[in-house]
Amino acid sequence: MILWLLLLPLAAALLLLVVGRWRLLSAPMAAAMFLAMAVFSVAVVDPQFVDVAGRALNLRPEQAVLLTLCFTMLAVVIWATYRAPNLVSAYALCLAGASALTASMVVRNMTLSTLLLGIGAVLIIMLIPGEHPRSPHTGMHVLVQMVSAVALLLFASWALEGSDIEENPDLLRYGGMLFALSLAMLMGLAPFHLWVAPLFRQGNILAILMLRVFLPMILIGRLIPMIEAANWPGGESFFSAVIFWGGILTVAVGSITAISQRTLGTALAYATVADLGLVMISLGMGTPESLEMGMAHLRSHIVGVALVCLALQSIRLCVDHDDVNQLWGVARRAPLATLALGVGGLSLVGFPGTAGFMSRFVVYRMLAVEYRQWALLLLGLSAGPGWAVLRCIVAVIRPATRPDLRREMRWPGLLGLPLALLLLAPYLLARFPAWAPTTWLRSLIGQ
Amino acid sequence: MFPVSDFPELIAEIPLYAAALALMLSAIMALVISDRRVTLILLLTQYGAVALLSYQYLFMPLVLVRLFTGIVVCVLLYLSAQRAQRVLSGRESAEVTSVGMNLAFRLVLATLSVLLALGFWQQSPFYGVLQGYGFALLVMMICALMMILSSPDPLRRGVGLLMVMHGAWAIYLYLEQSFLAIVLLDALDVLIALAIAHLADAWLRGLEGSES
Repeated sequence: MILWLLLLPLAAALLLLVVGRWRLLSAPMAAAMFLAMAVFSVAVVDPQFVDVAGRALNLRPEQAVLLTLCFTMLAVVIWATYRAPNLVSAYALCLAGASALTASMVVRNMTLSTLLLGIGAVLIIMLIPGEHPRSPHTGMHVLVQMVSAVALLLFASWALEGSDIEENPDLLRYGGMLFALSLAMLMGLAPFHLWVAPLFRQGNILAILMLRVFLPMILIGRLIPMIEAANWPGGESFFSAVIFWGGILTVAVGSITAISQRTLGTALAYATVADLGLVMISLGMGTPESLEMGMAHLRSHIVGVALVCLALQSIRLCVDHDDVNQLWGVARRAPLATLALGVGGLSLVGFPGTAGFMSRFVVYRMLAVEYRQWALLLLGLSAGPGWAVLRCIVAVIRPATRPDLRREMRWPGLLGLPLALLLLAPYLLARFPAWAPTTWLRSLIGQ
Repeated sequence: MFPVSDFPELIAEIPLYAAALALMLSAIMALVISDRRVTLILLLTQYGAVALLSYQYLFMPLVLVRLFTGIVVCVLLYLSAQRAQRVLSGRESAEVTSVGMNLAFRLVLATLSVLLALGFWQQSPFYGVLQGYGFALLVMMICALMMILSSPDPLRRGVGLLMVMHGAWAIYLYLEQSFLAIVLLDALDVLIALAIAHLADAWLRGLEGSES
C-alpha cells in the first residue's frame, strides 16, 4: 500500500508533463492528486515495517498527519495560484519531488533515504527560477547548499549506520554532528539561512512552499526517531543539545535580522526562519511533552507558511514591487490576499488569538521551567519578526488610490479562507466552546 | 577491433599516479581557464581519471556506469555552455574585468587552492587512505570550491559543484559500495546536471531579454 503512495504521484507527474501546457487542466489535476495523496497517506499508516524488494518501509502515524497536512496545503496553493506564471513542467516537478521526498521519509535505510531526499530537493530547485532576473542565481545558491548538505548527510548516514557505540563512540559523535550540520543546511537554520530571503523575494511560490514546508517537515519526520533513540554517547543529551542550541541561534538571528527588512518577501522569510527555530528548540528540549508541542507548533507553522505564500502570490500579481512603500492601497484591490497575509503572518510571528500564539506560548512556558533567562530573551526577540510583519500589514491596509494596481482574482483567493479559519480555530473554540463540532468529530472517528 | 573483454587489463596498465596527476591538472586548469566548454572537457577528464582510480575497489561494471553518467552529464552541460559562450561573447570581457576575475587573479586562486589542499591533506582524516590519490581528490575539491565562490555565473558555479560532488562521491564510494546507492548517486548526478542546465538557461534567457 505504501508503494502506491510513492508510485501514484510519479505516474501523475508523467501525465502532467504531457498536459502541463493546458493550465486549466493541469492545475486541477495536480491539486486533485495532492488531495488524493493527503487522504491516502492517512489510509496507509502502518507503524510495522513492510518489506519491499528487501528494503524496510514504514509510515508512523505522526509522519502521516504531517504528510496529510502538507499535501492538503500544496493542493490549495496549486489551485489558488494557477494563474501565476509557472514552468510548463512545474506541477510535474512538484509531484515528482513530493514523491521522492515522501519515499525518503518512509524508507528506513538512511543512505537510500538521503539519496532520495537529494533527488527530491534537486527536482524542487528546478522550480525556483521565476520572472525576477536574479532568480537563477538564487536557484544556484540553493542548489549548492542543498547538494553539499546531501553529501554531508551521506557521510553522516555511513557513520551512524555503520558504527558501533561500544567500539567507536567518536565516529558516532562525528556522524551526529554531520547529521545536525546537514539538517541545518537543508532546513535553512542559522547560520545557513542566507538563501531563504532571496527565495521569498524572487522564487516561485511552489518552490517556496516545497522548500520551506515540505522539506523541513520530511527532515523533522526523520529527526524525531533519532531524538527518541537513546544510543548516543552520553545518552540523549548530545543530539538534543545540538538541536536546542541551533534552534536558539536560529530564533535570535532570524528575529534580529527581521527588524531591518523593508520588503514583504524578506520580512516573511525571516519570520519563517525564526518560527522554524522555535520548532527546533521545542524538539531539542527532548521531553515527550516538548516533542509533542514541537509537532503542534510545526503544524501551525505549515498552515501559516501556506497562507502567506497564497498572499504573497496574489500581491505579486497585484503590484510590481514588494517594498513596504510600494504596498499602499493593496488591501483595496486584493482584500482576500490581505486577509491571508494578516492571519498567516500574525500566526507565524505568534500574535495573540492565532494558532501560532497558542503553541508558542506553551513552548515558552516549557522553556521557562529550565532556562528562564533564555525564555525571556526569546520572548523579547520575538518582537523582531512581529515588527517586520506588522509593518508590511499596515502598509498593505493603508488607504491609497492607485490606478496602477491590478485587482486580485476573487475565487482562487477564497481558498485561503479555510486556512485562515484553521489558524484562528483554536482561539475561537477556546473563546466559544459551544461552536466545537464535537458530535460530528466523534462520529467521524467512530466513538 | 579492440575486444571489450580486454578493457580491464588495459585500465590496469595505466599507472595510478598518471590518473591522479590528470585529476589535479584538470582541476587547476578548470579553475584557470574561463571558457565553459573547455571546463566541461576537463570535467569529463576527471570522470575518466576517477574511474581509473576507483577501478581498484569498485566492481568494473559500476565503474563503467559512473563513466557513462559522466559522459551524459558533460554532453548535457556542453549544450548549455555553447549557448552561454554565444550569448556572452563581447559582453563578458567588460563585465568580468570589472570584478577583477582576470587570468592573474585565477592563477593566484589556483596556487592558493593547491597550498590549501597541502595544508588540509596533512591534517585530513583521509591521510594515507585511498592509496595516496586522496590528495588529488582534495586538490580537485578545493579548486572546484574556489570556482563556486569566485564565479559570477550559474553555469561555472554549477560545473564547480559537480566537481566537488564528484570528489565527494569518489571518497564515499570507497566506504559504501551498495549497487542501489550507486545507481541513485548516478541518477542524482544527472538530475544535478539537468538543474544546472535549467538554471543556466533561465539566466541566459534573462540576459537575452535585457539585451533586446
